[in-house]
Amino acid sequence: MNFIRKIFGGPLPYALLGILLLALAYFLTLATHDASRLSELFLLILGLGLLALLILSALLSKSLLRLYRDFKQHKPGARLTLRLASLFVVLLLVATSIVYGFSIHFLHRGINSWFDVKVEQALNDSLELSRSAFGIRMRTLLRQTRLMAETISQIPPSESGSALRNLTDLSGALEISLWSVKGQLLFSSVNTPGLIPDRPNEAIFRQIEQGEEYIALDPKESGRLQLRAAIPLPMSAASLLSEDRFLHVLFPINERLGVLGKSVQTAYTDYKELAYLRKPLTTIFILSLSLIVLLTLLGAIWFTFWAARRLVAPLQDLAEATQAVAAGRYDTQLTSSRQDEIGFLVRSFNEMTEGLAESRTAAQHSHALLERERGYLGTVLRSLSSGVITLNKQQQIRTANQAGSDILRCPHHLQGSTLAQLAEQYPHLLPFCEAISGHLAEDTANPSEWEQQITLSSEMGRQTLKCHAMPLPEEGGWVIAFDDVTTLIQAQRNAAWGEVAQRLAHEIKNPLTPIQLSAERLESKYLPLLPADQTALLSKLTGTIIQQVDAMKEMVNDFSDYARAPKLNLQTTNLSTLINAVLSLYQSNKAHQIDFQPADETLRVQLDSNRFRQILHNLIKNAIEASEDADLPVRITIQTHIHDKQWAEITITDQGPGIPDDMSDRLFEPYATSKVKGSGLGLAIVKKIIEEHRGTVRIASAKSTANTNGTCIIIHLPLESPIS
Amino acid sequence: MINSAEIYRIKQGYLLDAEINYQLNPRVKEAIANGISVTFINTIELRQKHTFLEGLLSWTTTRWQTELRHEIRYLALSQQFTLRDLNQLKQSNFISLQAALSAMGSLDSFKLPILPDADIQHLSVRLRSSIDLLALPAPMQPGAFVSAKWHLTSPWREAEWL
Repeated sequence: MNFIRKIFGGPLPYALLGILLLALAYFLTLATHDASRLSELFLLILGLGLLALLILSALLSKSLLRLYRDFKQHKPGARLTLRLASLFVVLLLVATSIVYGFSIHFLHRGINSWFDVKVEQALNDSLELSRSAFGIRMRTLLRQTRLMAETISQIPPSESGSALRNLTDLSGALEISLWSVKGQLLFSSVNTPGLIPDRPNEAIFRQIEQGEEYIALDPKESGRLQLRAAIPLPMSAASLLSEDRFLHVLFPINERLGVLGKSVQTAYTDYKELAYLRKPLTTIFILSLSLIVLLTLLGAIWFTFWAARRLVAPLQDLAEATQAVAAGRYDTQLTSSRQDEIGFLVRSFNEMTEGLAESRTAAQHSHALLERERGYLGTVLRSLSSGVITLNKQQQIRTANQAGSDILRCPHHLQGSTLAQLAEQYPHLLPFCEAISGHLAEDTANPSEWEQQITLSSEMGRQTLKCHAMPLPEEGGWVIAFDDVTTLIQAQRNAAWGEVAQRLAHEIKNPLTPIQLSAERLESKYLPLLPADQTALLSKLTGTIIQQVDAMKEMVNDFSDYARAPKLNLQTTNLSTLINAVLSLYQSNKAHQIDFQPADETLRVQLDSNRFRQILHNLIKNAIEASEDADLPVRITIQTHIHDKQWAEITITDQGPGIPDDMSDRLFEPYATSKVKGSGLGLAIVKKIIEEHRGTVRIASAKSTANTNGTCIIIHLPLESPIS
Repeated sequence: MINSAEIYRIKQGYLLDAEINYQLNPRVKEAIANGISVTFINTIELRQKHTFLEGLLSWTTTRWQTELRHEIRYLALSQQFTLRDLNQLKQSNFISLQAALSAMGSLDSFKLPILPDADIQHLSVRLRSSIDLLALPAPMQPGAFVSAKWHLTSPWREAEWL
């Protein structure tokens, strides 16, 4: 199989086919020049033609198989090749069929024209005439031979030889011989000396035996005609022989007559042979013609397939190249040296792919640049501590950095949400969203920059944001940058209060001691000098001065504590141990019910234990006073647990009257107190110390943490070792 | 078909006599009547049988072969059938086809070659007759080759030793 494939895959079959067709053309040319030679060359032509037909059929089958395979595999161009080839084949079949039909018709007419009734009749008549002419001669010679036989029969056998010689001379016969019917030559006379007399064949002998005479026109080996006559000798007394004999005579034919007779016979025989061969001749002519037509047809079909494939090949390359381009391979290039429309198409395609490749390179470059810019911008935005969001015209957030989510306290990504959705999802952002929406609605026609400070309230406390918005060029929308300035404002406020406290402590504390000393001297110096009814008044007045001075001293000391910022002495401390130590001071009063519920007894944080004790005392004292002032039982619960894996959370919950709503936002500010007594600096000092520990404190309504009234203070301190 | 084939000894060798009965079908007769020359071939083979291992193995080889060719043709003018011996270039004329066939079928005293190295006991002669289709006019040959009516080859006939 591989051998056959190898042979038919190379140029050998084409070379062989070419040689065969050339030989066929040569022999057909010979046959065309001389129609009679076709019959001689027919077998050769048939053999060559069949061989060429075989090779051509194999080549055509190969082409068809290849086309079928391509068609089944949906190869580009196969369908077009099939369509083109089918069209040409149909045209070829129609044209060849017409030509073949007409050729067969003319062939029949041509061969039939060789035969003519008149010619045939003339030949028959000529033959009959010749026979008649020879018949007259034969009858004459037969009579003559009978006479000779009668003469011979009358003479004795001993004289037969000389008699035959005389008769030969007299009759002009070629030879006269006397034969016994058993085949024995008795006497003979030949007019040409040295020649052996011709022996009649067995059929003549049998005829004579039956007593019949024989005369016939007898062609010689040389082609010349002669007359052969054989006459039985009549039985007579003279012969004295009992054996039957016959006289055998060969007469010459007139040379002219012989030539004419031979000519007539040759023409008649040739004509009759030709007439007999008419059908086989027609058959071989039709076979030859059919073979040539079939060869031509198959050759044309094979050429059609070849030409169609060659025509479609560039289109096939183009189709494949187009698919390659569609798949993104823009560097696809085709080669074509053709100068026709297909060549133009190929060149245009190459120019197009070059353009596409350049465009893609430029686009990739731009994309890379854009990605780099975007990466740069993203890095900048991520590194910003300020929140940045961009909004489109539909108030939908297009981008937002992580700082934005952190500041707005949104655990999820903000991208894709509208402001309305954001406010719905996170109610504490409602003022933020409303403020932005309001500005965007106002500045629709002529957008301009704006700045606003927005205050948000949530469970995590009060938050002040400073927003700055700027319209985006071209496609519209806004970029809004915001910062959480709560700490800054608080720090400013604390710094101001610290300054005030320091000044108060300095300016007020100094005159208090002389006032107190003066009041005490006044009482001690003038009390003995006064009448008894007035001493009580003096004591009351000086006592009031001393008492108020003490109160002022206490207040000034509080201010002094708030203002000063001693260095913390941080140590790793077990939180539970510290809280238990503080609580032990409150266990003496049975009316106070204080529960400590540590989640983890081993919870350790870095803190200044003295300062933190002050915090705990302040908070517990506040809780006790709030409950007692409201005539409520003192029930305090202290809990510790880990929050968000990095904070130690301490909650102190009482069941007092709670904090008024208007106070909750500013409870940790100096002079923010709901109590009649007190400096209003307790919680401010608590917050200050906790912030010095890098922690946070906030107040939450007990209602939100438990189903009771009261206040809940939540403290977050950083864990010594955050939990990973 | 071959009616008889006999070999008899003479002083200088062996002679073959055979009687062949040519039975022509109408197709062949029609061709002859229409002037077509038909050539008949008588093939004669002299064969030697070889034995080995006391006759356990044997095979036969053809030592000599000849073909006797005769052509029959009808002459319209003389209304005779001409029989030509193509080997000896002799000609005989007959008034009937049957007479010509009879003359052609009579093989008299055909001299066989002498094989001095061969044992007569191991020699055999066989013959058969056939029509030479390649001698027919070319247009007739394709038809004759595919037609059974022109395939008149007789079976081989072994000659008897007398």
